[in-house]
Amino acid sequence: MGRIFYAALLGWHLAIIALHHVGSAVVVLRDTATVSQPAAERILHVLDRFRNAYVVRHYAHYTGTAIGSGYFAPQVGSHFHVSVSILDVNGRVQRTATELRWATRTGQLRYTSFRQLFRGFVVREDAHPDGHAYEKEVAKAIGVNLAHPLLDSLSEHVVTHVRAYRPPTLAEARLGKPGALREVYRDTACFLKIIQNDHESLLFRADP
Amino acid sequence: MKAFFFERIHNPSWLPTLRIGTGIILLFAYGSQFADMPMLYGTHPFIRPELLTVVDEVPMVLHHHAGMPAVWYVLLCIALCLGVWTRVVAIMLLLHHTLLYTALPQLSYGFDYFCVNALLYCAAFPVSRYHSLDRRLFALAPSRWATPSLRALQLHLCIVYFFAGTLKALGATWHNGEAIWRAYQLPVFTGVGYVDLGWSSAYPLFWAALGWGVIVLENAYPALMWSGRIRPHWLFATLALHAGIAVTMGLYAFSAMMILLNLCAFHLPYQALSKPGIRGTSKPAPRPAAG
Repeated sequence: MGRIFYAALLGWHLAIIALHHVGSAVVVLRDTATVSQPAAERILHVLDRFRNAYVVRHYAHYTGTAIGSGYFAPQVGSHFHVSVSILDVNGRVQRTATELRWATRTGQLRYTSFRQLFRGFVVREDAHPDGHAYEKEVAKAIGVNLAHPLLDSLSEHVVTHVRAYRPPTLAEARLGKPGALREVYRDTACFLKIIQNDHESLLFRADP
Repeated sequence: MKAFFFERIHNPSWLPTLRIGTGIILLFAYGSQFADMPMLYGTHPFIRPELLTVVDEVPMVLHHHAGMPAVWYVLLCIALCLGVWTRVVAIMLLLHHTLLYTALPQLSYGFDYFCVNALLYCAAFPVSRYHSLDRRLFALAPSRWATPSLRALQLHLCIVYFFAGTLKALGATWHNGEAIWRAYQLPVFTGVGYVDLGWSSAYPLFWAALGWGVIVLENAYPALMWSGRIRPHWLFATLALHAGIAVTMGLYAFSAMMILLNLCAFHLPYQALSKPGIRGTSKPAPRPAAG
């Protein structure tokens, strides 16, 4: 009886692991055009029915099996930077901040993992009906975080840049060419200087 | 099949190694990010929490400041290493990891998921039956579930490596070496042993060979790890890959976890049973089990 129970449990566990790996494989097959888009979508639709089942979803989450092995596959992506420029009322750059300061390497790795969501900016804007609203909101939030300690009463605008860094290819490196840093998104926010009880505070407002 | 899953005798030293190694790696990983915890998960996060997508099946997200204090987490890791109330401790750590790290997938990376896997196995496998305080306190006998547990871990790793290799094989940049070159050049991935290999761009075949090497190593893993003759060599190559990733790319915790899982799955179980200090086998075996 124990063996039958074990066999059933092991079969279930491995099936959940395989289900999520197959799912990520089909996404890669679709993205690399190895499998036609409609065929891949049909397969994903079937897989999602299983993956989204209540029991499967919870089991996969609490056992760490809700993930595929697609890291660095089928290709290695770009590295995204978020930086801010603080401009005065005349549009002159007062200060710049290039990155959040992380005390530990793991913190930096988690932040790097998070910034991968900006790869959506590399895709053409009109390909997405939402216009990457979420990514824009995130870029703005990080920009505000970066800028806040640097703001003073002379500051007027905060420009947030999201840039994608692509290292040189082997051929480019042979020719001594550096990697390419390309701006993929820019956002400008202005803020109000509020003076209350002789205390000046800064309040961000919407795009100018 | 029945013999494969239930009857073959393997050295059980992999079980306490999995438990102790997991506890040590969790401690190391926690310490290595402790200073950034408030900025990642705490009261002053770098981004408003409402902008983070929370996995919807999670009932709550454990925030660093509100949930488990650092001392409590460290004590749980030490308890896991010592093997005190092992299953309970492993389940508590597993919940901590799923509610804090994997609940926010945007801030997590592969290491977090392998941690949860390892903790699941510490909770489910008879890891407390060997070299643990539980064994002394509760007079636990060696378990007959050591071999079935080993098969679960081995098959899990086979699936992971097979798909990792297959997905890389689908990318043209892995064939010509551009992918591995590019990964090496990304500024965030620089470990203590990182050396500037810019000069090697003149030798693209070197990078292509590395790319194909990784594809073949990972794809053939599930087939070749069962062969008694090839296993040590393939395992050595796999460990070298992960050690290389740690030293050159700085993914220390991830590499340490992968090395631990590989050693537990395909090295320690095949060591001779007669070694001193290995207690708790259900039956003595004249020689290491092959295959």
